Amino acid sequence: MDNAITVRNLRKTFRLSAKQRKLERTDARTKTAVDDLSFDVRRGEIYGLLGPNGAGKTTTLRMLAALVRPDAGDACVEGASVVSDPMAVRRLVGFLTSELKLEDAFSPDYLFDFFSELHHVDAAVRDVRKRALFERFGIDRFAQTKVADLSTGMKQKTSLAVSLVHDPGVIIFDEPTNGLDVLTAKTVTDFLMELRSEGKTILLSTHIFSLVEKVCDRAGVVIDGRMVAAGTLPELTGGRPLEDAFFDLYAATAGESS
Amino acid sequence: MKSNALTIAKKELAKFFSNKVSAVVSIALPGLLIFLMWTVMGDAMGSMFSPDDTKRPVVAVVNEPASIEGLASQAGIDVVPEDALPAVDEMRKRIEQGDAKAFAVFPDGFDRDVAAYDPATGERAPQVEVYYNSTDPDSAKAFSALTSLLDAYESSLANRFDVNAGQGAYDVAEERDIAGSVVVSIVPMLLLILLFTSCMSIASESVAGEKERGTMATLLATPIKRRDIALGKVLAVTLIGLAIAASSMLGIFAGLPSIMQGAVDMNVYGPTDYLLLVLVVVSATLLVVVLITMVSALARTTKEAGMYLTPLMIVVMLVGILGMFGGGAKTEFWYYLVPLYNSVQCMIGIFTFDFQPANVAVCVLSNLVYTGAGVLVLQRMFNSERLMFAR
Repeated sequence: MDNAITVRNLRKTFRLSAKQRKLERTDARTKTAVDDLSFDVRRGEIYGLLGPNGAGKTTTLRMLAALVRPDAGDACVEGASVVSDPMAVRRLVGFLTSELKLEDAFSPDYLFDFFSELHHVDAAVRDVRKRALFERFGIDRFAQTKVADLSTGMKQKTSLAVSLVHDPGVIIFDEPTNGLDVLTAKTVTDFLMELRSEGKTILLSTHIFSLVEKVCDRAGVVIDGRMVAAGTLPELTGGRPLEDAFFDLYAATAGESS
Repeated sequence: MKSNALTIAKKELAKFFSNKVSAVVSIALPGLLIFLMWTVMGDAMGSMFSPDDTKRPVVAVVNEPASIEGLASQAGIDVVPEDALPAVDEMRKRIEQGDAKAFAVFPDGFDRDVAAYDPATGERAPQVEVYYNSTDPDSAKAFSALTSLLDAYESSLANRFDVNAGQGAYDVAEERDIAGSVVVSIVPMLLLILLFTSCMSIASESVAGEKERGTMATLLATPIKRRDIALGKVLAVTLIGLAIAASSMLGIFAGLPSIMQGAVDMNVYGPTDYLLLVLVVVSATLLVVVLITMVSALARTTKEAGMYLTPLMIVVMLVGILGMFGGGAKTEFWYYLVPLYNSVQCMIGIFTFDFQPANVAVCVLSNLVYTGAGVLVLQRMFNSERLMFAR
């Protein structure tokens, strides 16, 4: 099978400050956010990383987008290693997370042009893409409004458009529908499936079961930085609702560690 | 890729100018403020230290001799007779009230004694005492008018020789020397401080502010080199800093004549002086901006950046003040290798027309080298996950 993303034994630890140690009531000076994680994403599928808050999903996605370096292990995106060639990875990937904010002082139109320039997108190509994406998300209605004056949904749509300025083959979405109203969330999930039909590879993280059931071809369950189960939905659930399967997995993992 | 740095710089400038009012204010205000402050201060000082020329000085005189009476009215001094010298407190009060601005006591029979006096005898000459209040400009004027009248009278009695009685300009000090001495003490310090404080808010906004708002991560997720981000930001802040430096310089040069009461003429500096000044200021601005940007990159929020930058600002102020008491520009070239201090020394040298071109070159080049090193450090800082994604 043709893999767009291969993740091998990825590990990331963070140093804990004295304050954080107190908060988490631990003496350990480091916290392992991602612990020996391995999985593959096939080209043209939507893969979901499912897990509770703090499981290490965001950190994993950040490593795959070459925003932070792994401490051990490696991951390849379309053949480019996040360790040895992060720049190529950043060129190939579209990364969207609520942590990546857009500057308040600018309009969606300006930001689209700005990020196109950073990705060295030709002006003519850029204008075609901009028109298509802005129309698709209804951004054209507020294209000249400053980001500061936009609603959360409008901001999310703008972020989505801006993360696709370079028409990436691999798209990494962290909590794509978080904090969005049902209408905007539907626009986003519809768009995800549209991207898949165009042959794009999509890796997303979420803690929303329905999103996984609705759009994901395959999923991996991440708990405490480790992949506890992975596969197609039927493989994961064995015919039961995903929610039940997840709680069983969680109970098993939590029971193991305590 | 150089173009990425330019893209970043363009965006930074667009952001700075997106709020037109705040942009104009932060660029024009330093210069305007200095100009207005100095003009008002100059006016106030002028009225404080110069006497009222429309009023004739009034002197209360005890035992006024006939010889002085005529001379005084010719010299424009009003003389009022006084029976006896009042007590010191009362004199002060009356000077303040203005009915007499000075008090003179002549010995009884002054004219007769003067005519009879022979310096060869070695006896004490007849003595005139003049009382006045030096803190009151009108009183000081009355005093000097009366004493110079008395001096003139004395000379007319026995004129053997004159000093500087011709019409020539006897003070051979050049205009440029006077200008140099004043400009030296104020301008480098003022310029450095204005530059630093103005760049401080802009640079900390552009680095620590972007980290705080989470927009830095968006930038870091794009395929551009960290060096280009650092270069672009330094370039943009430097351009804004230079605009601020230019406005401050204009304000300083326009305001100096007022505060110095017309004692300075800025036209003594030629194009070469200004060109060298611009070179020094540009290189100093680059260095200041890199320093501020580096410190801002350490901070998580703009508030924190302001905290970290305060000690640096105190250092900059001290360096500026050092220039005021240095006793002219240093000649040894190693002084021109010390960052910040070298720029102050160069400015002093240029303002006093006492500089070695080699030293100015050393200063500008070393500033550029420090800036380059700073950008390299900055690039490493932008690469550091701990600094960029600190929580």
